[in-house]
Amino acid sequence: MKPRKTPPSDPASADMARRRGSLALLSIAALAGAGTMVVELAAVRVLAPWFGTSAAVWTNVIGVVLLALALGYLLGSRLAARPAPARSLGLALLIAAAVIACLPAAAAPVAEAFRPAGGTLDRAADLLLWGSLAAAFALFAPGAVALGCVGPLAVECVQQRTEVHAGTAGGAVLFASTLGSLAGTFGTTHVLVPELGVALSFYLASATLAAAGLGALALAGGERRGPESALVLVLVLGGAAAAGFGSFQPPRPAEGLKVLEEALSPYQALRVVEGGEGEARFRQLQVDEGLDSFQSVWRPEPGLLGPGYYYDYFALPLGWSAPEEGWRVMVLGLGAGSAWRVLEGVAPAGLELVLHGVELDPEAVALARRWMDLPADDARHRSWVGQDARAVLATSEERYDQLVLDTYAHQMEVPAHLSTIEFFRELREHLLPGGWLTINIGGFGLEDPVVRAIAGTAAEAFGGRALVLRVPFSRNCVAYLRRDAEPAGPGDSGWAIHGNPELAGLLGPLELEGASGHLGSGAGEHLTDDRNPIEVLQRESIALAARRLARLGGGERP
Amino acid sequence: MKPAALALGVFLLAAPATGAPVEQEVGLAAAVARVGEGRFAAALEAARGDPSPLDRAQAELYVLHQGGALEAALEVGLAGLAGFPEDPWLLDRSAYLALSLGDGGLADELYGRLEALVPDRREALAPLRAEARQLEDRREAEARALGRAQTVVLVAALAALALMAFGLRPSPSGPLPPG
Repeated sequence: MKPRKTPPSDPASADMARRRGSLALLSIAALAGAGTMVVELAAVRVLAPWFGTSAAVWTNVIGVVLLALALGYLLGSRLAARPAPARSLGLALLIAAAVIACLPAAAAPVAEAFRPAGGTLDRAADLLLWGSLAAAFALFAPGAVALGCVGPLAVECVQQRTEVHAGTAGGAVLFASTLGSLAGTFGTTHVLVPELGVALSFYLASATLAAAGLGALALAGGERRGPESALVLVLVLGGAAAAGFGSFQPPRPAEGLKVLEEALSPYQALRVVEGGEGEARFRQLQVDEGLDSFQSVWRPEPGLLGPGYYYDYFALPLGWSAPEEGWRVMVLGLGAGSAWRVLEGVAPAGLELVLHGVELDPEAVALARRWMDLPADDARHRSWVGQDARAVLATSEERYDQLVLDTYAHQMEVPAHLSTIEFFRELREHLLPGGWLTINIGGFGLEDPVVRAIAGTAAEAFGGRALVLRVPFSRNCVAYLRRDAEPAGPGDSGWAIHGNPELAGLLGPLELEGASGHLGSGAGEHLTDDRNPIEVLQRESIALAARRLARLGGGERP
Repeated sequence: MKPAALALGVFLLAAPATGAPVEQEVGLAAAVARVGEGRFAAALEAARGDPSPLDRAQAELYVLHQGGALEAALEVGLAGLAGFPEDPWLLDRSAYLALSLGDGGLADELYGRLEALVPDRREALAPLRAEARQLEDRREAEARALGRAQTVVLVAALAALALMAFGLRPSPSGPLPPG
């Protein structure tokens, strides 16, 4: 064991030295806290291009980081009982720095090992769950274990240097590291990721931790040197090399699609891609997972998008109600404005169409204005950007002829607070008499648990039944509800559309059995603000569809 | 779930091979004519009224596919093939539907049978079979990736337990060393 350093003979100087050392250690703890939160919050963004940012992915990442931190605390507690804790502290920080510097470069190969390119949403349910968990372990656990060691080692160092009670030292370190975590939390979400991007955020966190590690080694001073010095050098050089040469490479778009612009918002990674030629030219706004779906679609001319696009079915109330003067629509989940363009294209000449919209992600709107002809606000268009649909409606007294609910988070999740009976009641209050609510529901038909739950809950809120249409050539359904009336189904009077052949043409395939039906309250799970198992239902929906297809294809073959 | 246009399903089907006068009330030709008029329920009724089981299967598949009910159409196609395993039209349409629904294995199998039946079409079917195999390869890759992910999670959990067992051993007693 190395002998204790000779303390300064002057008590005042000794006290000052202790205070400085203690302050430096607390600063190191704060930096480690900040680094931990940068890793935890940016970790989800690193995985998002492959696995999305659903609650399941967040849970996996947070769970892995917490487990790794717990193991780090345990490991740190053992190291703290060994000689030279300040040196161990420095090494732990340098290991964390090196590992974190490698993350942007390692993300693509690791993620692709657990989620191969391509694939479809209905097949990906298990892969997204298990793949994100495995990728989180592989990518983030080593760094988090190293960061977990910091706390107990810092407490030990403070306690030894200041000779205070263990609880006093522990409290001071916790105070500093939690403040650091706070700064890391806000800084990552509001500054680092939006301003610098994911890769630079990790590099910055790595550099900060490396500086803290070197500071700890400097504090260790004369503590024993040995093979660790070489290890430190290797780690620093390795981290620097990874930072210098590695770069974050999200998945490429499908063959035949050209990327027009990419952006990173506080919510998701977005890109506009273009495909097709001539009249078949189209653009899509894609987000995160990069599976076979997209958030919005654009064609050169406004109007119906064609078979397989559910947006076209938002226009049916325009045909059923056949307004002569005006039609006021609010689209909740505006995205890049696909619903607006469809309605504008099919509205009869002379009809005053007023289009309002709410979109949570400002970057989606900015991209749409640049690439997808989304109009800026004017007399006929108004958008609430960067705001939540429910919050906007809560502060609005406007009433509409039609509300379009097309709010999706992370490609495939209906946000829980936008699918409850309380919310549907609020929507009803924003409709004019006879007004329509149209809901896009990702689901595989009228027996789908998500479709039944949402349509049934909305029906209860509206005091009637919902008409549900399965969109041909797609895996979406659209539900229709009316204030003070029931939507007509195939064969009912009021079903036919006159004077608009384009819209009337949509009705024929919906007359096939299984393509439409009325659902009343109690059709499925009752969704409330207090209890809304929508995520569970979505997983069930995907699993059921996969099983049905497997049964169809894998059954006794002719 | 955001749009998931099964764009593959969007195409103009070639009319079924068997012809019949359009003015018939039931049967394949009547079904085709009613689809053309946008009267899908009537078309399906006409299809199901065809006395010939083969024509009935063809007509029903045609109507359902045109109406975008892809799974139902494939189900009808496979049921039809159970009775008429060598009907090229049913094989062709069922294979295409399987491809549209992402079942590469089934599509490849059905295209293979069609190819054996009509060797002249080998070249025309090559890109579709390639696509079907690609889908199947992707499905296998996904299955492997899932296995890999579950193994990694298992190994990580075991490593965590081992580390916990190591860390929770009793600490050495005695005075603490200086820092």
